[in-house]
Amino acid sequence: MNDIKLRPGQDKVLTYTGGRLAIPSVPGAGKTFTLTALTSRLIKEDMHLPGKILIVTYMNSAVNNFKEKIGKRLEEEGLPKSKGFEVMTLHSLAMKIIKEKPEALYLSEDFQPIDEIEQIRIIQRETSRWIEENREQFQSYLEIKPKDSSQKIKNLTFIWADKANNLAREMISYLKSHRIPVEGISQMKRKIPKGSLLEMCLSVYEQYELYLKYLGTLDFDDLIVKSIDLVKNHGELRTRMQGTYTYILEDEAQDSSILQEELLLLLSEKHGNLVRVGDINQSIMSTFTLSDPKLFREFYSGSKTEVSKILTSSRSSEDIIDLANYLIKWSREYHPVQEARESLEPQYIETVDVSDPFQNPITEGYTIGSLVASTRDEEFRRIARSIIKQLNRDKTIAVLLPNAFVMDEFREILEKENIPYNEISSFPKERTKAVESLAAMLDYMANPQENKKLIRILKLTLPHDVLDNTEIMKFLSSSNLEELLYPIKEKDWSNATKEWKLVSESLKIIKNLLDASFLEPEAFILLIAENLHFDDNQMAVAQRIAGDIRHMIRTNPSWGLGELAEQLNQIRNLYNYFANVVYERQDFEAEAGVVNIVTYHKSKGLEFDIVYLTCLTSEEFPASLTDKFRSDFNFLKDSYKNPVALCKAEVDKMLLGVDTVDPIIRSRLDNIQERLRLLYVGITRAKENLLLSTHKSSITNYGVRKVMPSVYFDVLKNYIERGRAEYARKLK
Amino acid sequence: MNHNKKTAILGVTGSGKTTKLINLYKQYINEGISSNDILVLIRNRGQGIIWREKLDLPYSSKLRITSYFGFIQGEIQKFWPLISKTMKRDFGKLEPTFITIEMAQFLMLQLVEESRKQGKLQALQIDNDRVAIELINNISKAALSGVEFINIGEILLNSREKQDITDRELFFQLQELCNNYIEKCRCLGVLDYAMCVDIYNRSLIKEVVYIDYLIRTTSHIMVDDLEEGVPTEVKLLLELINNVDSFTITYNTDGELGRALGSCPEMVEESILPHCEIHRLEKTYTGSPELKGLNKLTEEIQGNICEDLPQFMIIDKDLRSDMLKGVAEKVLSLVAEGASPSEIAIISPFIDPVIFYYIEDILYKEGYELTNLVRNSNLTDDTYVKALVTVASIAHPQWGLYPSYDNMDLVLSMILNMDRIRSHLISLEIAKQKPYSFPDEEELPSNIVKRIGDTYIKRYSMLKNWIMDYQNGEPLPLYKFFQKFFTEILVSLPETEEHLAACSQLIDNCSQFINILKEHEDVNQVDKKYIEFIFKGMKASESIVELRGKMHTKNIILATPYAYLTMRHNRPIQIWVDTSSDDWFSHDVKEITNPHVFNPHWDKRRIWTDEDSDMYRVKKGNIHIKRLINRCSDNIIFARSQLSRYGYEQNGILGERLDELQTLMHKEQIL
Repeated sequence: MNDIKLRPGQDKVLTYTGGRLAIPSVPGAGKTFTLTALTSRLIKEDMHLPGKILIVTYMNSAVNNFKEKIGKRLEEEGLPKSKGFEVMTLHSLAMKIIKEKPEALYLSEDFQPIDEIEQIRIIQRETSRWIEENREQFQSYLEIKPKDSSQKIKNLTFIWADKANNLAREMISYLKSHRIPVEGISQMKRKIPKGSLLEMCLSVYEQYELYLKYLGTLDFDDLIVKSIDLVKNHGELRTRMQGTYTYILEDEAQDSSILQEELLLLLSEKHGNLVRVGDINQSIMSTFTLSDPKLFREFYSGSKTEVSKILTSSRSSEDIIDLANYLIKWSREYHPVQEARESLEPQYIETVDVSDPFQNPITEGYTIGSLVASTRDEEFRRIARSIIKQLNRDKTIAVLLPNAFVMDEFREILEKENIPYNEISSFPKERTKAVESLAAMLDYMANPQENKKLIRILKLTLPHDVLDNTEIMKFLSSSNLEELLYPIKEKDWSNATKEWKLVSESLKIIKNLLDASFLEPEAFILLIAENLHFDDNQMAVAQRIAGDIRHMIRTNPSWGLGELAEQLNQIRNLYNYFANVVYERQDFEAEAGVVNIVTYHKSKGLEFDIVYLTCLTSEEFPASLTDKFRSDFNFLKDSYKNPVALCKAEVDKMLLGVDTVDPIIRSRLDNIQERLRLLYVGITRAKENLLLSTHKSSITNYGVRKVMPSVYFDVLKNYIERGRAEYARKLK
Repeated sequence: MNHNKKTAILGVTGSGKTTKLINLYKQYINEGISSNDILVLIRNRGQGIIWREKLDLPYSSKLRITSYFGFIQGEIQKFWPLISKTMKRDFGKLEPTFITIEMAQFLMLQLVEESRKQGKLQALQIDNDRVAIELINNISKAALSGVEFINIGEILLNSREKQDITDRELFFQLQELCNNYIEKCRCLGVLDYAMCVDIYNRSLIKEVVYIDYLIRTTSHIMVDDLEEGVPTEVKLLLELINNVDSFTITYNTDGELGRALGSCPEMVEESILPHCEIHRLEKTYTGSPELKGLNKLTEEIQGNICEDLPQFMIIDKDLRSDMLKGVAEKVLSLVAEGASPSEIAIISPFIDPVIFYYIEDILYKEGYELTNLVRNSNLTDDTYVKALVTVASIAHPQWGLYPSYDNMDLVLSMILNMDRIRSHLISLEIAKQKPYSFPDEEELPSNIVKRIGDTYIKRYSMLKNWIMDYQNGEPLPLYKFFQKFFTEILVSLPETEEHLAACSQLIDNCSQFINILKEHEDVNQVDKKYIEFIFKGMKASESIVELRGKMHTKNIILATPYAYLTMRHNRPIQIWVDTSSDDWFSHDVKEITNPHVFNPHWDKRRIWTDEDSDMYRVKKGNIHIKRLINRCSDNIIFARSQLSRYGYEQNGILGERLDELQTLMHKEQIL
């Protein structure tokens, strides 16, 4: 370990032996390396005994990454690779705590929490029910003009209903984090003014909780809250858990919520050894979760905390680092909104010194540019053309987009241009394939006479072009399937074409499965997986499903394959958490020759040689309180424009006595700050080339809509032009 | 022979205790003692098989080799009139009716459902079935420990750390359920497992006439594996110990396996062993000295270097599915290297269908079979049973039951020897009418008739006519219907032999169920309830032949530590799977059960702490490990996955100890 050159800050971290330590670090500072080196050193010196080192991180992929890297280092030291440490996501940690004492919560020991997508499904159902029963009140929030047609009102109600789901979900999470048990809801309901939006959220919360109880489960918010309560209220468990972890190391500490922080502080109470690594400038989760960058700042400003900053980074070229630093400097001095000048900490990135084995990239020329297009479509087309030129350069490329909707638009263009792409999203489609295939197969097995269902499963086994063959399709959709699969007289396929032979082979597999469909369902699921040649990841998902089948049948004894298929379709989201864990075991490594499309948010933690920052409009990156805000719903009456902010303020007032003067303004301000940090994250993903782009209008279903480039775009564009001129001057 | 000789044979696993006891038995018989005078208490049916096989007596009178519960049941049966008299209760029957555990759970489930309907049990986050199972468990544990049923709720509540109003209310309601259950059994005139134990210990054993009889007819007592003895059993032995010619027990010093089932070895150590002359057997014949070092896995390993540590292999994967694949591949490579399948055991702390089917499939393709030692199948997993129940549902439209299409397809394809699609076409026709019924040939749409084909249609009509004849005849009790359909239709199918045991279990079980309930409920409702009960997942019971097969199988076996040890397997190669899972050191305390607090040694004023929990689970895990090692003569391979089957990180105790052991090995290598 000693022969590795340590950067300023890292060297100090590696002398750490105990107490509270904060490591604020810049993008590309080598956080994983630092934590890995620290862990293996502590273990090598037996400092962790009699307990262990716990590393908490927020991403599944990071868990394995840490494990592998620490394991490798330990092996190099002649120690077993999984000795003395545990790496867990916060949810795994909470689960571990609850599983220590599930009976204290009257939960069965094999309970499984529901995941986010299933949670959304339940909330959607309950919200729709509420809307159905309170339609008049629900529509009363809408900004309806006398001339609006009934169709328009219907459309607006539809859009509002969609947003109401998110509102309910955010509020349930908010109420849980404030430890409002469902029993307290009826009391709260009595306190709020009639017609308050919060009424809907509280009712949905009530029904949602009832349903979770019926399922005998918890959601992810409960996991954290209940694990804290368990540790707090059960002395023995607390002593044991606190004794287990001698050191606690937290990665991405800027994304900690108050509850997460509470849990880690609680667990580290006995030994007092808590190390937190993070970058406040990359705090971009507070709009979606209850995380709060303020917490990390307070932690490292505390008198008991040692601080060791790591400011050098070799990730980006000097020009890109300058641009990122300029954004910090400019925003602190000149941001048009006074309060937003604190958004980015004055934590400037430094390039590494000449002796560092990993040098900052050196580029040929000034490799940062900007682009203004008249429409979004044009912006995307020009980016696509630029990408085509870069594809053969053996460089990794990413296009950062503001949201999934825009991503779909961009993907279409890539497909048209035949540009190979990889979508980095929170739940790529390939992960649902195992569940979908199994459900489709069970569905056919339950209805073996249905041609459409047969064709659907043939699509799982046959190459696309076979089913493009109209003759084959016609044959498959018009034949009596018993004649096809169980002919009285066997058909002779020997002279058939290659495509027909493929069909016949697939039919053989299906026939074998049909014959085996009376097997016990668990065995049958595994058999399907094997016959469809599931890969290891898919097999893991199939086994997870097979494991649940017996329970499904026990609780619903009259179910057959058809009902199982239906259930699998309904609860497929239950397996998303598992599928994510399975697929995210490996850290993402970008490859050259393929363009990666990713949202700004999802790009955190990643790096690419060439990065396109798109859609830098004032709507996506607002810089003044009068900009248009995505969090504002213009179809609602002015006083309800930002329902989440409104409801949260109402809860704050009721519970904490905090009276937010203007919740909508407060929320806009938060939004401005976070979007600015998001832009900073985007810039710092690039190693060598960076292109900032924006547009002046976009075409929507309602016609052409004018948009303004973001103030930041203009500011950075000017800086880039100056940089470019300076470069040209130097060249001369 | 010495009068009143008391002996205890103590030894580790595989040291020959049982063999010694059996030899003594043989010696007694050879000395002319009647087998009828020797009462042998064993643990389970598996042990019964071993005894009978090893005894191989050329002649004998009646054998009294039985489990404690089997013994009690026999005595209750024999002394039923006396019991009725002393309990001053007219059971209304000349003979006691014993019910199975499933039947007990069914009766309890009805009460639980009722209770939930009344808005009770709100604090519980578990389903009704589980509540019923746990309550029946509580009642059994209480009986075995000699605790009165009316105290169950209080004992459990007092042991809880949190006892606020919600908890008090909950345990009050649970006690109410226990009371109602016992009352219900009394009304129906039936005895479950717990009630037998309770009646025996609270009433029969207190009768002087009975005890005199028992002493008079028992000159010798032998108890195998008394470390597994439950408190009431130990008390019975204490009644007899000084009144017999000889009293011999065996006692495994590695520890007990059945703590959660009520075993109380400390009671044996305190009250039985001091009376006995102790014989110690130190050497294990089934273990290997080379593996002794692995006993380190039963300790909190400190940093010491262990010289006798064997080399061991860990199959280490991220995903459980990959680990299972690794295990199957390892088995195949062992066989390829020359190991016989009969030398290999896969040991897992829990056997879910996934582990069995997945590994079985891989091995089967290479020509090897995997035998699952853990009985886990439902009665309806048998296709004949499924067919019987399905046909019964259609033939009795008055029940309003709707079997699933799959089950109807199964019946048709089995009986008519027809493919799935054609069967399904007919099922769709059956389901067109509500309630379901078999349409006449003429009522079937012509295109369907054509698609199905003449041969099959003819067979279909025969089946249809059979049902018609049945429906037009005298109504039969459900079990008679099963008998009739089995003997007239199913018996002619080619594979009937294989399904005979399951079908006769169904028929016997059904007749018991109906006979118990019919006096109190509407017959049709009872029949319907039975069908629903069967589909809920009644377990198939294991016949002696099956059990013997599992004990002597030459296949690769898959077992839990408990099953492997109680069936007394000795395989040279063991593969322990899921070693990072906490299930190797599982808790016995559940939401509403705690088997330990009924134990007479438990101070009932105390609160059950996490420390207690940990102490017991570590003890149990250690015993399993120690005993497994002592039943392995060559090699133990470990397999683990970082993620559990649900996708969570797992860091169980065994996994951690393996890590420590690896560290020791590394240090040793470095030195």
